[in-house]
Amino acid sequence: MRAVILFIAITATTARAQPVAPWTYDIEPRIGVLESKSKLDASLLGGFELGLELPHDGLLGLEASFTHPHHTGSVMDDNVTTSYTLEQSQILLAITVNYRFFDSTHAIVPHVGLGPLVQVLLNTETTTAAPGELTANEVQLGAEAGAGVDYRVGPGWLAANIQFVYSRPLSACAILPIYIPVCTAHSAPLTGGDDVYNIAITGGYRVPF
Amino acid sequence: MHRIALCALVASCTSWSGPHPLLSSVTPSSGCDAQASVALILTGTGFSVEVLSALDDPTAVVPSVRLIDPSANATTFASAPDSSGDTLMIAVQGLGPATYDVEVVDPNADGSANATDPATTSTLAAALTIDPPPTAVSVMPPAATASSATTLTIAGSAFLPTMTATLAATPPVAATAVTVAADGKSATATFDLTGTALGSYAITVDNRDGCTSTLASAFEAQ
Repeated sequence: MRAVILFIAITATTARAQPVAPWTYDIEPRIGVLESKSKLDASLLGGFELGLELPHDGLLGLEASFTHPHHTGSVMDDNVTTSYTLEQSQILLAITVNYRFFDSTHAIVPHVGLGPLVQVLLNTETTTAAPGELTANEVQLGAEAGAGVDYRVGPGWLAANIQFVYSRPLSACAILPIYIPVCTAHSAPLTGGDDVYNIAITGGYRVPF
Repeated sequence: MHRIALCALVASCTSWSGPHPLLSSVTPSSGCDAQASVALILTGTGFSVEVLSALDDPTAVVPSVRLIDPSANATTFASAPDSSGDTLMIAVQGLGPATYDVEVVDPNADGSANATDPATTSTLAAALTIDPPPTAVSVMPPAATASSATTLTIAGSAFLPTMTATLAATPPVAATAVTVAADGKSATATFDLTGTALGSYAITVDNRDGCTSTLASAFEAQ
């Protein structure tokens, strides 16, 4: 894992000053609440961030999180009336570059960050009208922007974060501008929305090692 | 994992799976829909109901049923599924007389968003016969003495072996011992006219498949 983080750090900072050895890593287990712009209910979110200290008060974060929101609704049709439940597992992997406004000698360190992400959405739908499960899985690309505050407690920092997540299907369209007509078709017929907008508020404890 | 690795090269990374239909029987296997709709019950497994756009504008999608005639012309009907997932109901009307293949189509089998779960159908060949409606054109003899059993020959077309005949007296007189000719163009029927008032009556033939034919003033009780 250290080798991977090292490689990422070197790649990301080629044009900048090299990190100063010894490397300083930290890990932040975190838990929080995720709210989606869609009809999905708010849900608990768990995850962690592996961090590599960068020069100039920077931090390269490798973040992973999991949440499992759901939505229950009903629909009336000419031929059938049914209730349905859509459960969605969201697995998120992100690499973020963070800037800390103060160095780690301060007790309170606000920070902001930004980076790309990959999100896997595993959808399962059941209805009361018929047995069986319908599943639809999607892989999406996107970006995450976040901000937070670290507060020194003990050997580490209590961390409070707010993150904005946007993703859309991983496809040829995903790398084209949104306004390209060919990219307007749904690729997620089960959920009805290609784009994901989430806000996550988390708390954790960042421990250096 | 291969899919995740490769999907960036294609149009979409959406995968999809769900129940697939398997049709095992159609009841009734024949009917006449020229005068009224015929209710069909399709049994099998994997008849699913899907709610699409569940997080946006939810729409329930049910299996569709295609009736395919010998010339491969298909007529599509929306089904009404029950909650067991093994029964579909459709009402058909206006089909031409023919023998039809019956095909159940997975609700998501339109190919529009089903990259990894190709269109799935289940077909029963020659599962439904649509009969033409009967037509009664004459009765011989056209008159007979009341208060006795009388055997009449009814001429017409499209009579089925299941046919019944009724004299529209008060009360109605149902024929006994109805025998339909092999070509379906005539039938003999015995009516017990005991107690039947004198007069002219219509005769109705009923193929018992959804269609009837009534010949007005077909018979006179003397």
